[in-house]
Amino acid sequence: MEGVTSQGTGAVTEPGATRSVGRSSLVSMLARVFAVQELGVLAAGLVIGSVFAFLSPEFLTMASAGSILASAVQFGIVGVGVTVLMIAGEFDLSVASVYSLCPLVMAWLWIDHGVNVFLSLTLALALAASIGAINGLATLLLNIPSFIITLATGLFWAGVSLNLTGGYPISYFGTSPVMSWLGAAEMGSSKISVSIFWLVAIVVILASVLRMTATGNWVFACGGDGRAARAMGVPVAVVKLGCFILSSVLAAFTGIVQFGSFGSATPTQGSDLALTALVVAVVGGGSLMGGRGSIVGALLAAIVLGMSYTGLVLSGVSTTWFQSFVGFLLLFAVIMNLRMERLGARFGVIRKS
Amino acid sequence: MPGAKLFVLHDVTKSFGNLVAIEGVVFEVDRGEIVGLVGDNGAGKSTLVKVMNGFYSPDRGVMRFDGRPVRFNSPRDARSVGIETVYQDLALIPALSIWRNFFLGRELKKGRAPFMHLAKAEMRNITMVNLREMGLTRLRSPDEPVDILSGGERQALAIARARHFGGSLLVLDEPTSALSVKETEKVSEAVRIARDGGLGVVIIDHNIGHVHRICDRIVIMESGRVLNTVRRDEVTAQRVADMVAGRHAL
Ligand SMILES: Nc1ncnc2c1ncn2[C@@H]1O[C@H](COP(=O)(O)OP(=O)(O)OP(=O)(O)O)[C@@H](O)[C@H]1O
Ligand SMILES: [Mg+2]
Repeated sequence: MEGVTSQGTGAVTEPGATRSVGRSSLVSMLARVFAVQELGVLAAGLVIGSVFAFLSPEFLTMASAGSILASAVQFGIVGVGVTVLMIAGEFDLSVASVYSLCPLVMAWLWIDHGVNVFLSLTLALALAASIGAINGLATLLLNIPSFIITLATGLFWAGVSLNLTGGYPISYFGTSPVMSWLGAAEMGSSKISVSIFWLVAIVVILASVLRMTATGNWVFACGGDGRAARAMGVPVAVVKLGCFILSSVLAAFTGIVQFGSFGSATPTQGSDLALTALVVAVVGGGSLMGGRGSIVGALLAAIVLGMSYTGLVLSGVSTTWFQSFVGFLLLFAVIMNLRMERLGARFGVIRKS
Repeated sequence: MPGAKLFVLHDVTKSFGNLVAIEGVVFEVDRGEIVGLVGDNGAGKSTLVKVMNGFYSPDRGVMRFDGRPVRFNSPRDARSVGIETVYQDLALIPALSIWRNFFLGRELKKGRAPFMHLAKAEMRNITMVNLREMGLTRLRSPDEPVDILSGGERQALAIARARHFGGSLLVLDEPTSALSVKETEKVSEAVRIARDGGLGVVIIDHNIGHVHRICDRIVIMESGRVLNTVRRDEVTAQRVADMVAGRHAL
C-alpha cells in the first residue's frame, strides 16, 4: 500500500482551508486517504460486497468466502503476471491458452504416461517459460506489437491443447500430496483452499520487487518510455523478456493450481481468461499505455471479481450474467480511479513512490 | 593509457535506411576541454552524439576511449566507461517520480541478496540536494512524478543527473534550450567546473554566441559531415555563425 508525504497546510490550494485548524487536519486526513492508489477498486469492492450481502444472507459465510477466494486465486495469479507485463508496456493474450495447455501437459505426462509428478510439473512450467520467451523474442526481434504476437501464439497453443488429448479432459482420482499442496487441501475445517497461499506469496513477492528493487524501477521505466529507459542504461529488452516469461509462467501455474484444486485438466478451460486478466490489471489501476499499475490493486480486483461471481450465484442470478457484470465493473473502477486521482491532486497529495 | 586523447572518433558513419545521417566524421575531445558542436537542423549533431554514447552503433568507423578501441552496444556500456549524457529529448520517464528518474539505471541499494533493496531515503536526499544546487528550490518532494515539472525544470533535472554521475566525459545535447538566462548561466558555470575538474565536455547548442563564450574548440557540421574545426581564440563568434549559415568564403 502506498504511503503519503504529509504536506501540512502549505500544499492546500483551496483558500480558507489553509486558515482553520479543524479544516486542515480533515484535509490532511483526506489527503492520506486519496494517496491510496488502490482506492478506486476498494470502493468498487465495498459497493459490490454490500449489495450482495444485502441480496443474499449466505454471502457472508465461510463457504462463500471459500468460493470467492478460489475465484480470486484463478483471476489473481494470472492477473498479477499480466499486470507486471502491462506495466512494462506489453500485452499477453496467450495466457488463456497457456492456462489450459500447461496443466494438460502436466496431466498428460504424469497420468497418461507415468512420468514422475515433479518432473511433469517442472516440464509444464518450463514449457510455459519457453512460450513466454517466444512471445518476448518475437515481439522484440520482429518489432511487431505484442498484442498481435500473443494473439497469434495464443491461437496456436489453443490448437495444440485440443489436439493433445483429442479434446478430452484428463482427470485425477488419487490422493497425491502434490495435488493437495497445489490446491486440493482445505485449511482446517473451513472451505478455504490452500491455493490462497500461492496467491498471497506471489503477490507479496511481486509487490516488493516492483516497489523496492531496481528491477521494479526498470519495469516501470520500460513501460513509461522505453527509449528513455534504454538511454539511461536500462536493459529494456532483457526486462521485457523477463516480464513475458513471468506472465506466461504465472498463467501456467494458475492452470496447474486449478488442476490441483479440482483434479481435472480440460483443453478448453478458461478461454476468456486473457480478457479477464486485462480487466484485473486495469481495474487494479494499470494503464494500457504502460508505466502504471499496482500488484495490490490487481489482487483487490481479483477478489472483487471473485465476489461478483459468487454473489451472482448466491443471489440466484445466473452466472451467465457474469461477463455483463464484469463489463460494468471495468467502467466503474476505471472512472473511480481517474476521479480519485484528480481529487487527490486537488488536495495536494504526493504518493510516496 | 597516459598521453592518449580521452575520446577519438575516426571515419564514423551512421545511416537510417538510405538516409545518411553522419558520414566519415572525425572528432576528438580531450580531458579538460569543452568542444562545441554546431550546425543546421538535421546536420547530424544529435546522431553523432548518440553514436558517442552507445545509443546507436555506427555502421562504420573506429572509436577510441582513453586510447583503447571501444564498441558500445548500448548506452549502458558507454555509461560504464564514464560517458554521461544529457539528451536533447532529456530521457526522462514522466510517470516515474523525480528521484526514481534521477537514479534510473544507477539505483543505490542496501542489504544483501536476496533481500537487496533500494536505499530510498538516501536517493531522495541526494536528488533533492543536487536539484537545489541546480536552482530548483521550489520542489515540494522528490516523490512527485516528473510530468508535473516544467520544461526548464526537466532540463535542470537531466543536467543535475549527468553532473552527479559525471564520469570522464559529459555530453550535452542542447542543454539550455528551455532555460531562462539565469539558469543558462548556471549550466555554463557547471560545465566550466566540470572542465576545470578534468572532464571532457561535448556541447551542442544553436546559440553561437553562447558556444563561443564557453567552448575551447568548435566543430561545425553540415549535412552529416564535419565542415570545419576551429579554436575559440582563432575566430570570432560572427565568423562561426557565418560558417554555420553556409557563408564559407567570408
Ligand atoms: N532514428 C532516426 N531514424 C531516421 N532518421 C533519423 C533518425 N534520427 C535522425 N534521423 C535523421 O538524421 C538526420 C540528422 O538528424 P540529427 O537529429 O542528428 O540532427 P541534428 O543536427 O541534431 O538536428 P537538430 O539541430 O534539429 O537537433 C536528420 O535528417 C534526421 O531526420
Ligand atoms: Mg539534435
